[in-house]
Amino acid sequence: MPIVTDQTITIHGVSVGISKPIQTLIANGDFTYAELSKFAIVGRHDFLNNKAGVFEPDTYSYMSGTAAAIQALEKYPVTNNPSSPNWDSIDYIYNGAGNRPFDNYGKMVLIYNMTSSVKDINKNFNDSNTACIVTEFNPRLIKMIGNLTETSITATVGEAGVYSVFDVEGSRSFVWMDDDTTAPFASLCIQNFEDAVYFVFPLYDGVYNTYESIGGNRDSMYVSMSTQIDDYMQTGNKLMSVLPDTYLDEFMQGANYANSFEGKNTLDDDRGDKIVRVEYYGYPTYGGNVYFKASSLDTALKQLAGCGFYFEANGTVYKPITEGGIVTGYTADLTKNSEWDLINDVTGNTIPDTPSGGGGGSDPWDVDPETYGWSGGEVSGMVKYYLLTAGQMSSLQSAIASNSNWTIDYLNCIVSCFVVPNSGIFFDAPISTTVKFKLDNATEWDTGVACSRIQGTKNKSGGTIEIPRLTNTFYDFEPYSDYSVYIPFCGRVPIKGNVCLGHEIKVTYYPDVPTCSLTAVVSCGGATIAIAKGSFGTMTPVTSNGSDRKTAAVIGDVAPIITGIGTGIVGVALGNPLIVGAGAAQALGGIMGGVKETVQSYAYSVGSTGDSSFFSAGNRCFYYANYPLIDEVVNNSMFGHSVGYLCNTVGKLSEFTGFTICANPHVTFSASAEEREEIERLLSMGVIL
Amino acid sequence: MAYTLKVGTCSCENNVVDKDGKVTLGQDISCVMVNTDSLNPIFKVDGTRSDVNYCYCSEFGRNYFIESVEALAGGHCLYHCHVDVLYTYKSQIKELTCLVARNEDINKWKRDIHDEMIPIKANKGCRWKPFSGADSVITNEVCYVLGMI
Repeated sequence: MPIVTDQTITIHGVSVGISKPIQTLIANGDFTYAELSKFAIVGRHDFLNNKAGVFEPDTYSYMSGTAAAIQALEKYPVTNNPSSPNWDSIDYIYNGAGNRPFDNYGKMVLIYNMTSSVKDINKNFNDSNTACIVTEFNPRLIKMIGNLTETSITATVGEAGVYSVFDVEGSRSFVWMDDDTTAPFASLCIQNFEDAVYFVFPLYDGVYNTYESIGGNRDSMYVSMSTQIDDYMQTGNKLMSVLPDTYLDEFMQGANYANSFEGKNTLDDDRGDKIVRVEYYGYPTYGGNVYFKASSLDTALKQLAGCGFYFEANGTVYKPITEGGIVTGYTADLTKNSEWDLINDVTGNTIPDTPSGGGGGSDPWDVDPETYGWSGGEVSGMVKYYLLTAGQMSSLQSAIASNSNWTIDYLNCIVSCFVVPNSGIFFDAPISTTVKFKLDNATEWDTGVACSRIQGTKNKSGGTIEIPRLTNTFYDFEPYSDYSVYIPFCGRVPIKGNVCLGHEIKVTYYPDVPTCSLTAVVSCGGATIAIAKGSFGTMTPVTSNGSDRKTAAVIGDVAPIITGIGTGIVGVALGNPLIVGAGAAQALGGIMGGVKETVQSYAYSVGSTGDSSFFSAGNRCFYYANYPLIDEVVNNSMFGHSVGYLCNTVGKLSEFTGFTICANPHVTFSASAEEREEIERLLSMGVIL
Repeated sequence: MAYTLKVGTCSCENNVVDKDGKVTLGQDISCVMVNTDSLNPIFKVDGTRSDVNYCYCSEFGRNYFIESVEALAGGHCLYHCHVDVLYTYKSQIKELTCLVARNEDINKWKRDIHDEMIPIKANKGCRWKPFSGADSVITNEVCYVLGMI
């Protein structure tokens, strides 16, 4: 990342940047929640009155609206009642005056100083704080600039550093207060939340304060607390991705709330609550079982995010480098390849339109060769893909078996059936629907069985690992050592040590819906070092046997086949015959005989190098290394004294000590010829300096 | 011609360049050189001392290894010497700029350069480690993908 020294950053393409709703970013596979947690994308301001320009904490007044909203919300406390309002409804909390203070979402840019923050775990912010446990990134929010309409803005950041810039449209946040100072937040729980990125920071007012000390003015308290987001020197911040059903005390481990502001609720005195602010980034929803021992909710704005901007500093324009959907850095070389270039909905900057990646355009088969997988919607206008749970599949079987009008032709509607792992982690299936069989324009049967329509795929991270040097010598490299990565669904893939040693490698899955296959990309520093293909789905043959067998006997024959599908029998998809009813085998001509050609052609689709079925796949990526073992004598001082270590260094002999061998030394000082020869010979054989 | 020797002992390896502190020499003694090779002189000295292995000749300005002591009749001996070029020219040698191929200091070791002198064992080490930070651990919980017209 570039280092800004003149304290000024100009950000281009701001108001017309590529902001996307967080849900879209994740659905498109641009980010995962875990990946987002590395970027401290936080925005939390309500631009009540469409304030433009630089956000100045001391002058904004939206908190009055916030406080009013809090008061309003306290009339509708969050309880265990599943019918409690979800986050979305918070948008519609009125401030009592009939206004909806959260309707005005400001488009905002956040500028973070990333200096010294990468992998800076347990960084002490200052001497007065205890160690702050942070995630890999501990960026400091330097500036928030909101309600932008310009195409570029200039911000004085006030300090040198390495900067990263994000845009956010509004935010969502809430404040917790807990009166249990011995085990704070133990009673707080975020349950059934959609996994989201959370940014936690205790609120420190500089001086221990109580609600009473600020005159019981709740508005003042919140105003004061809100300044802490800029007061990075005082707060210990924690940024992490929190999965559903995470208890808050677990989530809050390591947060520096020791000096948190202590305030009291207007409705319940003497609680001595510790106050922290928890930002969450996303659209968490809860279906109940969320409870707070003491809680209040703050502004709740929809939070959107972009993924980096071009920005200019020190007279140079920097382009974001995105890899795997993550901004991994910035470069002054605007021609440098970046996934950024694949984004085609950007206006206001100089990036020309490029084809969208992932085959998401009008022709899904026109895939950019540098992208992988298929993340578009339907393959064609004819075939749609649906995701069913095991239970839903069983329900479908029951529906079919109980439908007296069922004919074998309904199976013609099913062109493929794959068994996939993990509740379909690779799929974006947000649209709830039901399974419908449509024989023709006039004949459609809605089974009523719930399912989800797949809109695309989600690229998934298989994790990362740093490839260590094992001998710390040339023996680490080929041909002496060999390295490989085991990737579930794909098998074991060799990787080059000279590329990845000492670096972190990452596996990213790029799935494909129609074939339930995927491409796994092993990358190192943004460069692809290995590609493997595999199948995460196992084909379950679906058979039909002509359209004339519309008899009850066929129904009886078919039902067991569906039974085989619905129960997820291990090994079924590996080619073993499905269970068929008595007599059906002959009638159907056996499974393979009865299988349509189109199905049969890929009924045994397997990965090119690895597992033929996810049933036999490992559940995580592994790295393997085979390396020579160096004899321990090398580390003994006598080895150095007798043999010496290869150094191939040019220098004065006075700079060296101990046993030394010179390569082809030349004596240039005055000595007899015989003496010079002897000196050169001795230096070549080894002398002790 | 008489020569002046300081005779004594050297308690370090011959290939040590700077032998300061390792060479102990006695008082000057007078001797006669019986040959003419200043790099491999043979000095005749009075008395017999066989516990010496090093000497310095001021006339030649050189240090010598006493490679052997030959006893003569009459209580004399001959010191067969060879010039110690390293100690004699230690200052100049230290000022030489060379391509140093190997050195005792492990911190100067350029580990990534091939070196046949590094011994390895016949067996190989094997290491494996799981990745971390995956989006999800793959489980056996299944779903079904139906492709439908």
